[in-house]
Amino acid sequence: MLGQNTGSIPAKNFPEDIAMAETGADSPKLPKSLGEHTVAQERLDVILPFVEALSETAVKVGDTLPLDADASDIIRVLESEGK
Amino acid sequence: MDLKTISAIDLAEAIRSKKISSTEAVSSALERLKGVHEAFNAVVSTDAEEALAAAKEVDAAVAASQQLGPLAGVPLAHKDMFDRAGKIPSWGARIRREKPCTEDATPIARLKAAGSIQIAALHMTEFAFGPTGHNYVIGHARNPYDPTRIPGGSSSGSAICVATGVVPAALGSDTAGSLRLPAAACNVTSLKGTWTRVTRAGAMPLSPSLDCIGPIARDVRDLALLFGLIAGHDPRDGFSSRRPVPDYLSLIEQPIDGIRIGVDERLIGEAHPEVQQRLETSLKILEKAGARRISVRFQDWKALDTLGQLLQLPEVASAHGPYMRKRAAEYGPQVRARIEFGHFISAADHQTALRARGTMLSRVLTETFANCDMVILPTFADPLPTIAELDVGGGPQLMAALGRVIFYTRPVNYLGLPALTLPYPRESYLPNGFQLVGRPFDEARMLAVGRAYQKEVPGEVRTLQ
Repeated sequence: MLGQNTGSIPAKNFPEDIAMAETGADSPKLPKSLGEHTVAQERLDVILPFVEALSETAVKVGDTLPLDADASDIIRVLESEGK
Repeated sequence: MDLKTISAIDLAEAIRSKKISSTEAVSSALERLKGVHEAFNAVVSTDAEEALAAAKEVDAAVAASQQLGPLAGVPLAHKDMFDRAGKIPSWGARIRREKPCTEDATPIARLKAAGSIQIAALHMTEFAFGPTGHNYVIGHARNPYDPTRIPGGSSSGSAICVATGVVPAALGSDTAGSLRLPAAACNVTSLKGTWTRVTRAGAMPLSPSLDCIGPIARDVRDLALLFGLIAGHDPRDGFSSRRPVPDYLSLIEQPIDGIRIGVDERLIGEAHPEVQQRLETSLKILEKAGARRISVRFQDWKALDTLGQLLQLPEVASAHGPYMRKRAAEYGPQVRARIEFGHFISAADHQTALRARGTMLSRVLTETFANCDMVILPTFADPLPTIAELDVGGGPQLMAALGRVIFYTRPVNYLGLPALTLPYPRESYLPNGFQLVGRPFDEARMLAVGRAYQKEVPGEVRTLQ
């Protein structure tokens, strides 16, 4: 095993990130999938608008899809190439 | 014979014809590996003893005139994300499997069956979730052409070790650009095949709807050889295609006269002016080699990128759920922050992204690819950033900064299309590269174009100072 970090640039500490990962007692209700992990309000202020913008595109695209559009369509289209 | 510059194909031939032993080739590669790691943080662990023992076996087989595989005795090294029997891959992370793997990942097993010898497991972004080579757990990797700049990620060590002549080729993975970006940043080539073309069995999953395993090499002929070896159906990966695998290497010298390369000037116009200028230089080289330039248009590039995020983020969040719920503090800040996003995307939006994929690909094939065989795009939108510029941790600028890095790569994963990365002529610039995005399963023709290009712009090795 070669020594880890040899020749590397020392990774910065991001105490504010660690704090956000470990605290968050005042956080609003979070998805159950996060379990014990909490997300501070400052982080949510970044995450939620970002996700909302993604969702707007999903809605726009979703409105153009037929009811029977399916996750397996990608395989069908890929495999139909050259046949 | 220069072992730093020789291709895998030529080295295998030299070993078969007893011009050099595998033991000499492996020993020499291990020696180079040390210096490269010290300079660029490219390695997680080495397999010196096992590699030298395997090399002795190959040398004995050569001496006994036994039948040998096409890579017999050739030293390779791969991203540390593949299962190997008896070992625990690091995944570039603190969090790892509790027990050693019981079998090799299929791509690793296939390369081993071809006779290659793995000498090391290489640096990767933590959990392959980042395009720059930053890793807050095992340290950031550096670019061999300018150690203050990023080497690209997440297959950083693979590109560094190929660029510096440690090994002629290496495996990596690509979920949003992780083969193409490090290849471009380190002045080498890579091939991300059509999604489903190469089995992922035994490779660390990140976002299964997007993940692709592929080779990085200096010589496109080596890409063709390795890609042909790892491609093909695998019962361990239910998504892997059952299509026959062409003999890519035998097809690589096919003429490219008249091949139509699509150019979306509006989309390319979003790149930095230097990138646009360098792409134009490469396009002229391809035209000189016989290709034709055709104007094309991607209608929905930004929507494709968004849909890619709607697939990737929740899939990563789901895969990492058990760790995030209990061990979040063991992640680096960047990966932890990105995983958090995935927990806030609705299942309905994720399903829409999955259901739209076939429709979006169909549209791109009938519109963008209607009159062309492949499309040229930058790999990076900008000249290589410094490590410091993108050292943003998990802060608020994270998604915008990384989004710009993968602007030209992530939509290609969403579409499932193959992409070959080739370096621009370097001249006085730092390395950077472009990608040829092809039709589904058209890797053979793309490799032929790459081969024609490399006759004008040959591969290069970065020698340590």
